[in-house]
Amino acid sequence: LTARAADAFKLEHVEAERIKYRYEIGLRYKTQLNEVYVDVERATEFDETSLAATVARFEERYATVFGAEAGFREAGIELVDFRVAARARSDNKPMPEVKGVTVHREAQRGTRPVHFVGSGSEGLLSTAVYDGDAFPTNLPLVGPALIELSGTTIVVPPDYAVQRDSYGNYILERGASTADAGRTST
Amino acid sequence: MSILINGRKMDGRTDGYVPGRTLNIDPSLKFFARKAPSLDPITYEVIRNTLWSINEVHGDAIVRVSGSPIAAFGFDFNPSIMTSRGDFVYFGPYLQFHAGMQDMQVKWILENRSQNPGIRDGDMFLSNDPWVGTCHQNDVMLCCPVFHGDELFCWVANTLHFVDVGGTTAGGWNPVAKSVFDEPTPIPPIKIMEGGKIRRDIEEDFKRRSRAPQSVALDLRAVIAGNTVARARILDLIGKYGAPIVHAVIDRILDDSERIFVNALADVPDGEWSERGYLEVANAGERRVYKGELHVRKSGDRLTFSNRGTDPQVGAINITFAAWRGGILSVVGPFFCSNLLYAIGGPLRHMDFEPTPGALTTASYPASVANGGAIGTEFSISLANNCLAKIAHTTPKLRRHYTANNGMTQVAVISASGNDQRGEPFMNVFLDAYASPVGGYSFRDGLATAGVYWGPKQTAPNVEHAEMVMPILYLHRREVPNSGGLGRYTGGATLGLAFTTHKTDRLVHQVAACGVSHPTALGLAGGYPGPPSILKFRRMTSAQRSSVEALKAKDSARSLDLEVSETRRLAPKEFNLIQGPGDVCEMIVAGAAGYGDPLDRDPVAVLADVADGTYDQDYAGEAFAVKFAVGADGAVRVDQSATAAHRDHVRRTRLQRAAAAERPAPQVTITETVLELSDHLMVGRDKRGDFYYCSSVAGRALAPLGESYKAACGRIDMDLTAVNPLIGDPREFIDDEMQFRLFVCPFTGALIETEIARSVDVPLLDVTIDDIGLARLVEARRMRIETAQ
Repeated sequence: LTARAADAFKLEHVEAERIKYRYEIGLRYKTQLNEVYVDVERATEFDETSLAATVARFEERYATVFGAEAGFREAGIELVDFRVAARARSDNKPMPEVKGVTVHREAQRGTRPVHFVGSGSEGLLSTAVYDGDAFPTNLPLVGPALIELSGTTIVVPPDYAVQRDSYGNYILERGASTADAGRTST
Repeated sequence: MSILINGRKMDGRTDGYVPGRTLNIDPSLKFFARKAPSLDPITYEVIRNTLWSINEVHGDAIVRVSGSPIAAFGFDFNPSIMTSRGDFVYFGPYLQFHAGMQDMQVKWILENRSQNPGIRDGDMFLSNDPWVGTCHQNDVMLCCPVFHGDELFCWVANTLHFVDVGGTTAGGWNPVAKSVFDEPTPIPPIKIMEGGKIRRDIEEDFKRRSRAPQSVALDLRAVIAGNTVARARILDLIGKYGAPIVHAVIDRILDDSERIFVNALADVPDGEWSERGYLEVANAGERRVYKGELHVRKSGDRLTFSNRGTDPQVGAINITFAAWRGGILSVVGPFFCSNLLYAIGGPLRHMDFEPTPGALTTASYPASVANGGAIGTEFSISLANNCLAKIAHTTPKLRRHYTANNGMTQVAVISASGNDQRGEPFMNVFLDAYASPVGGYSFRDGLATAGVYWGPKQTAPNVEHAEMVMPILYLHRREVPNSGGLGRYTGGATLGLAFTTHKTDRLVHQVAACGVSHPTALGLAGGYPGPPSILKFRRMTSAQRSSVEALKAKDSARSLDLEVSETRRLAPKEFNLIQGPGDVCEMIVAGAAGYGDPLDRDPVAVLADVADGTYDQDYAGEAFAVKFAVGADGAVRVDQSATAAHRDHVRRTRLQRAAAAERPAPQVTITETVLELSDHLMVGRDKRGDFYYCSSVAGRALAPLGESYKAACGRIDMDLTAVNPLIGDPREFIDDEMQFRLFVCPFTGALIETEIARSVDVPLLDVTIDDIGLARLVEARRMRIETAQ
C-alpha cells in the first residue's frame, strides 16, 4: 500500500522525502457495521504483542467516542481493514484578491422594508440591498443592510457594521461605528 | 400526580400513565433553576441548532454501535432531549412516534423512582412497558438524566426497536396472543446504568429473555452510547456557554414553539373534527372488524383529543395510551409547526388527552399490545392525519402543510425467523415499507415511494442489505401501477416486493397485519383511499421445487408468477407460516390516499400518469373520466371536449345512483363565503347572517352548523373493490359487511367526501363548527385584511 501511494505521488512530481504516511487499522465488535480506526506503527510483522496493543488502542478509542460502557468484547472483535494515508504539503499559493466598486451606492440594488427581531428597533426599517459580488473592499458600512451573494444573503442589523476584506470575507462587528468597524470578527 | 378517568387511576399499572399537571417528585432530587435573564439572538440560534444536532449525533452513535439491521438500515429509533421535568425540547428526526412517548417515561421515572432507587448522575433507566410509555415491548426506551453538579439539568433519551426481547414468538410479533402474557414481558423503568456502570445483574436478566442475547447486548450498548454521546455534547455546551444560558435557551425553545402553535390555532375556527377507521381480525382465525374513532376539539388555544366511540380492546390488535398519543404527536409537529424542528413541548402545553380506558387504542393491562408498533400506532396516526388535516385546511397559513394519508397506515408485518444462510438463528422484519408513498396535498400530487412524513429519516434498506441479513432472494421490488389513491391530487404509487428463500430449508413467518381486507389510508376531501396492504403467497409444487435453482437463474420474476391459480392471499393474521425453498411471498405496502374529487384532476396530468406507468390507460380513463384520442402521428392525446362531456355525464350518473338525501338542503340564499373546510365544502352565510355548511361548487347551503352536511348529500354505497383495482374480495377474511361511501353535492354531483365504513355504522359526523366562535373569527379575519390594505 505504501509503495502504491508513493507511486501516485511520483506521478504528481512530489519528492519522496516530503511524503508523510499514516497507518490505520479498522476494527469493530462482531456484527457491527461500522469500524473505528486506530493508528498503528508501520509494522513489518504483526505479532501477538502488537495485535494485543492494537486491540487495546481500539477499545480505548471506542470508549472515547461512544462511552466506557458501550464496548462489547464478549461479541468478539473483527479486524476489518488496513489503510494508509499518504500526505504531502503543497506549496502555498497566494489567495486571489477580490475587487469591488469604489462606493457602496454603486453596489446597491434597491431597498426593502425589514423588521429586525431582537435588535431594539421598532417596526419596519427601510434597508438598502447590495450586490455582494460588487461590494467595495476595505470600506466599512453601518447597518441596516442586506448583502446578497449567489449562495446566501448577509443580514446586517442596525447595530452592526460590516466590512468586506481584500479576500472577499465579510466581517461584521456588533455595536461598532464606522470608525472602528472591521477590527474584530464575530 | 397521575390523573383519574372514569374513577380509574391512570398511573401506568392497569391503565396507561397520564401525567397530571404537577409531578410528585421526591424532594431529595435537586433541579437546576438558574436562568440567564437575557439572551442575545445569535447565541440563542447557535445553542438551539446545536441542541437539535445533538439528536442527530445521538442517532448516529446508535447506528454505529448497533449491529442490528433494524437500527442500522431501518433507523427504527428516535432520540429526544427533554427538560429536567420531562417536557420535550426536541424530537430527533427519526421515527416520530418513538419520541412521542419519552416524556411520559421520564415523568413516570421522576414520580416513581426519585425516592427509591433514586435518580443520580451516571444513571440510566431502561423500560419497555407500554403502559408507561412505549408502543410495544420490542421498543426499548433508555432515559438518561443529565446533571450539572448535583442538580438535574435535563434528560436525553432514546427508543430503539430491539430484534427480540423474548415472549412466545421469535421477534415478538404474535398473531394469536390473547393477552400480554403471550408476549414479551414488559419491564417498567429499571435502573440499568448506575454511576456510569452497567448493572450486570440487570443486563443478565434482560438478555436472558431473548433468543438473540448477543444482539440485545449490542443494542443495549448502542442506546447507552447514544445517550452517553448526547449527554457529553450537552455538558460541552454548558461548559462553553454556562448552564444558565443553556437553560434560558431551552426555556425559550418551548416558549417560542408554544407561541407559534397558539398563533396557528388563533386562525382556526372552534369546533370538533372526527375520523373513524377499522382494524380487522383480532386473532388468527377470527373474522370481525373493529372500529376506532378520534375526535379532536379545538377550543380557543387548546386541542383536546378523545378516542370515545372506539371499540373495546380485543385480541392482538391493541395499543396503550402512550402509543395512541405518540401517534397523534407525530402528526401535530409536521402539520402545525413544521418550522420548529419537532419542538413539540410548547404545543403540548395546549393539548389535552381524554383516553377511554379499556378501548382498542387505549387498552388496559393485561391486553395484548405487542403488535402495536405496526398496527395501533399507525392507526392512531392515520386517524389523526385526517382530523388535523381538516383543521389545518381552515387556515390558509397551514393549508399547504398537510397531506392526505400516507402509505403504511398499517404495516403489514411479515416477521421472518429461522436459520440464516450461515446456519445461525436469526429473526428480522421487512423494513421495505418505509419506502411507502406520500398522500395527495391540497395543491399537488403526493409522491411515489418517498417515505412517510412521520419518519423523515427512515429509508427502506437496500435489497442487498436485506439479503445479507436474511436467507432470502428478492424477486422484485418496484413501484406498483394503479396503486395511488385517486383524487384531484393523487396519492403516490406504493411499493411492492416479492421474495423467496435462499440457502435455508425454511423460514417461519408471523403475519400480524391489519388493513388487509379494507383500506386504512382514508381519503380526504373526496379523495379515494389508498389500497390496503396486499399479501400473497405461492407454495411451490414438488415438481416445480426440483427446478427451483434453475428458475432462480432465469427471469425469476416471471418464472415465479404470482398471477397463477396456486397463489393465495395471506390472511391478516397467520401463525407460523412456513416458507420453504421456492415458495414465493409477495407484499404490497398499504398505499396513499388522494385529495379531492378525481373528476377534478387535470386531464393532462392523467395523460402524464399513463405515460409514466403510474396508471394503466384503461383504468385511468375510467377512474378520472378522461377520454383519450389517438392523433394522426399515433400519439395518445386528451380529447378535452369529450372529457368535459363525459365528466358531466358521470356527475349526473352519481346523482341518479345516489340514495335520496336524509334531509333536504335548507332553502336559503348564500351571499357570502366565510370559511373553506375542504375542496368542495365551505361555510357560507345568508343575508340574515346565519352560517351554513355549503357545497362550494354549487354555492348553495347543505345544512345549518348544528347538523351534518352529509345528511343533505347524495350518498352512494359501493363495494370496497370500487376503491382500487388491487383490492381483493374482503369477504375472504371478514364477516362484517364493509362499504365505500361517496357523499356528493346534491346540486352538481361533485364529490365532497368519501368514507370507508361497516354497513351498520351511520355516516360519520366529521366536522362541527361552533357558531359563536366562527362569527368572532370572521370578524378578526376581516379586520386583518382591512389593516393590511
